[in-house]
Amino acid sequence: MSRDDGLEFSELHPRDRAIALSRADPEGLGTEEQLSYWLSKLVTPDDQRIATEIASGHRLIGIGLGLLGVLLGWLTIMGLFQYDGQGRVNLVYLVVVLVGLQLSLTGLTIIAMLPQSMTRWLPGFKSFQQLLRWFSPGRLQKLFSRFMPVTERDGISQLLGRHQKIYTRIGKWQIFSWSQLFGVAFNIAALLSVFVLIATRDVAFGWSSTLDIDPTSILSVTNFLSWPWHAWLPAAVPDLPLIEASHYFRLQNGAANGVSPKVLGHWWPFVMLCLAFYGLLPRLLLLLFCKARLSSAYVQTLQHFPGRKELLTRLNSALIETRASEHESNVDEGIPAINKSQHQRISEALILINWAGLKVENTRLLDEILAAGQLTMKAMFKAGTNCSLEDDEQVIAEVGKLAADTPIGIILKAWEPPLGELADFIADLRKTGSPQRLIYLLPLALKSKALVQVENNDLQEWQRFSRQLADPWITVHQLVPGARI
Amino acid sequence: MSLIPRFAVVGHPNKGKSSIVATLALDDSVAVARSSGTTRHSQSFPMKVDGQILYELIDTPGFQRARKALAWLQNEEKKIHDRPEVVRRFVDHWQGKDAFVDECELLRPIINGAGIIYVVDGSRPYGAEYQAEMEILRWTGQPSMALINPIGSDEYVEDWRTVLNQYFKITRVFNAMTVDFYKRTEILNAFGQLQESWRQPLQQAVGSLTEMRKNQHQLAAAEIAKMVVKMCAFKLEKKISSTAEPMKYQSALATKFFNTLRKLEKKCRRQVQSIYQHTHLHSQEDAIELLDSDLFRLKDWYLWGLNKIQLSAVSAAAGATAGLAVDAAVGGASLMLGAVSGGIIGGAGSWFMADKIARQKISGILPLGGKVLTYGPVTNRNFPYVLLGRALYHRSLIADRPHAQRDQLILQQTDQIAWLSRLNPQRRKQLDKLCNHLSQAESPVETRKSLVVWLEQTIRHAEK
Repeated sequence: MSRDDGLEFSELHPRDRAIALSRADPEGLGTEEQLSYWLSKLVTPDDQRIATEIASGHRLIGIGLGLLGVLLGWLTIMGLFQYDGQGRVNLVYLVVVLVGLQLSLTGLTIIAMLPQSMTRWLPGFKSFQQLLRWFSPGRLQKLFSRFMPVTERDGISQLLGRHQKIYTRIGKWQIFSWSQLFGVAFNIAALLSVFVLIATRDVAFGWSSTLDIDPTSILSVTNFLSWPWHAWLPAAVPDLPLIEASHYFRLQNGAANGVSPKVLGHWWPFVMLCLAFYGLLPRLLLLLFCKARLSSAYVQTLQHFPGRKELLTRLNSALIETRASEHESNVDEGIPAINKSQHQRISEALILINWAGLKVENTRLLDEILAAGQLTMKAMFKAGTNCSLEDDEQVIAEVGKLAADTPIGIILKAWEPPLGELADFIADLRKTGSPQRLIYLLPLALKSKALVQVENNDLQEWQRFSRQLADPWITVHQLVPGARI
Repeated sequence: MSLIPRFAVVGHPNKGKSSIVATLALDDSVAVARSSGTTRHSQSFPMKVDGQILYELIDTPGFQRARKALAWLQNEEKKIHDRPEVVRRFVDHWQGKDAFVDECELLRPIINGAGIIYVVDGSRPYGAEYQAEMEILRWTGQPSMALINPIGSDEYVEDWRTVLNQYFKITRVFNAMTVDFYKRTEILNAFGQLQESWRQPLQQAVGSLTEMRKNQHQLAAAEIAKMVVKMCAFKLEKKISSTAEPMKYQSALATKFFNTLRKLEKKCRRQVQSIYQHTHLHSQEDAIELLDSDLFRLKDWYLWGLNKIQLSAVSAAAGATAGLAVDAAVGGASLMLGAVSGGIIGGAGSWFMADKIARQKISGILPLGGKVLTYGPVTNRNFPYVLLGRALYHRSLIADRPHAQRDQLILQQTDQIAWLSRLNPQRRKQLDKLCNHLSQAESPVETRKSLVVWLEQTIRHAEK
């Protein structure tokens, strides 16, 4: 669609409508099917390459974040289970980090995910969300992108960089998905690490606090945490004797306090289930949720893509063509008319031919014409409009009998365009008398039967006609009403 | 008789035949000239809907030797019912010869079954020279109608009507230069009345054109909305080194900013012209310039958009909205003081800031050092109103412009002043809300959608 941005509607509509009609049964298609079909017809090898690069870039980022999660998960467990065989692994640390911290981070992630419509009315909440998103592990994609081949990097920037506005929703859920993938990898690695440690070492768990905490309080906490599995796995629910036996003081140098070290290892099912239920499970659920949101974001982006409605209009509206396939060329409107007109006294008396079909003979109009053209008249004939072809021939014959040099004036309606008939008549006229006999074209204009100035456009039209006749002895003679003789 | 309705537009030279064809065929590339003889060959303008021809208009050259042609026909005539056949013989006989080039060209489509649309100029008087050509057309025996095209004035329209009624079944006045869309479709329906079998395809054509017109309005609304949202949110950034003097870059950045906005507006106009099939108007840059009192001539902003008082009121309302949000956040404990003070600051601020366009700022320290110089987006609250005013006005000029028009687009400022006041209060309120979102570049996708709906309604209303 961004490629189409530079194209005009007149180019887009024929193309898109042709695509729509190229599919058999175009009416039976659903909107999404129609759009997919349209896309498939326009997709270029370049587009396919970009799509492959984006998919491959995404995979690489996912793998990178997963590996980072595994590494951090292993390191965290190694740190928390630091045990030299003398003291005990403090359960308080484990619960705080593996349950408390993980749940807090999950909670903050959920807050960061909340849609704007739910948080609009809380002042400052948007900034808080943005801050939280800034710490999202998914944002490390930028770091990973740097180490990727150029093609993959370009693919990622197409989706998350250059077209960020269009893909806002996709970008958001893609980054959250990557973050959850990181979280899942972290927890799986942590679980495996705990299992490996327990399987390969003797780990003694204990709890210790300066505060005077009653073992029954600890019991209520462990019961609360064990609630999800207490019914089907009671062995993983610590009991009071175990809690009391696990209470230790460092001054006792981790001494067994008369309790078998084997008993202190009974905490491991509880620890692993805490990690699974409060670390892995929420992250796994969030990952599934984010993946679903991401898919829905892709669909929604396609549904709300800018220009989608216009594209559908182009696909579904009939292409109406009304233009000619070819147009006239060689229009000589641009050629300026040669100023082949004059307004000056014509000393010799003219043979006048009334071609206009107006009542001129023996009228006031004739006097006006003669005055306006500074003319005198020797004879007068009628031809052209209102006359038959025989009349025209008769006039030509009569004129031929008169002196061969006597100039001719042809009275014309200025407002009517010059026709081929007049050109033919002049050509026949030219055959009589001297070839250098002057012929004056006298276009006139009337208003309420009185002579008025000829409009400039009309005058130019007659000048153009005179030029087209290619006869140097033919001139347009301008009639200027009111001119002095 | 041909199955597809075909209409030959014929007449005396230079009486606006090509103008009528250009207007009916929505083709602004037809050679329309004031000089006669511009059309030398018949030209076909088929009206196709998805490739299916519904009717065809044929532009023809004017009669040049009607008297001579009629004399030939009369000479050849044996019986009155032979007349159409005599006309056919005339065309066959003279085809390819110099004597009747134009007559053959214009009569051929008619003897092949085309209906006759005879065109005269209602601003010029009737004369006997028309009689021969009307007689020849009558000889063809084809269905015919006359169009009086008043080029310039309608001084002789009634005289013409009296004459034409004697020769033609239907006579209509049709000014190719001023006619609107509905008048065009009305004429097409009239063409359909010439022959029973032509009615249905012509009605179908009118239906398709009406649908196309509706789509054009929707597409124009979408295009304008896209442009306005983009321009209101547009900003430019330039990274400069920490030691560089920002002043050196500010002016160039501002120039680039304004030029880009101008280009965006121009691009939108071209698209709107293309949507309404005025593709050849693009080449007439000078024609568009007249309309184009520069986008950033601030003194015109009060003309295109809100005047100073309206602007102040709108800003006051926007300020008050911000204040109300504060009130809501403190649970109304501020006893609406937020709304009052917000309103005053918004109003007064906008009055004094009315001549400013966009904000310029230098911000941020980049990870590898350096600063970011930013220009935009346009902060002036009048900007969306100005953009919309200009775009809607341009659209209306284009949508109503017959395709025979070759004149410049003329800016009539007095008309324009009223566009906001013509809106009813509810639509005006919707507009103010949208413009408020646009000014603050809030949720562009939703704003664009709402703006498209608003524009579609406005355009539809204007069309009525």
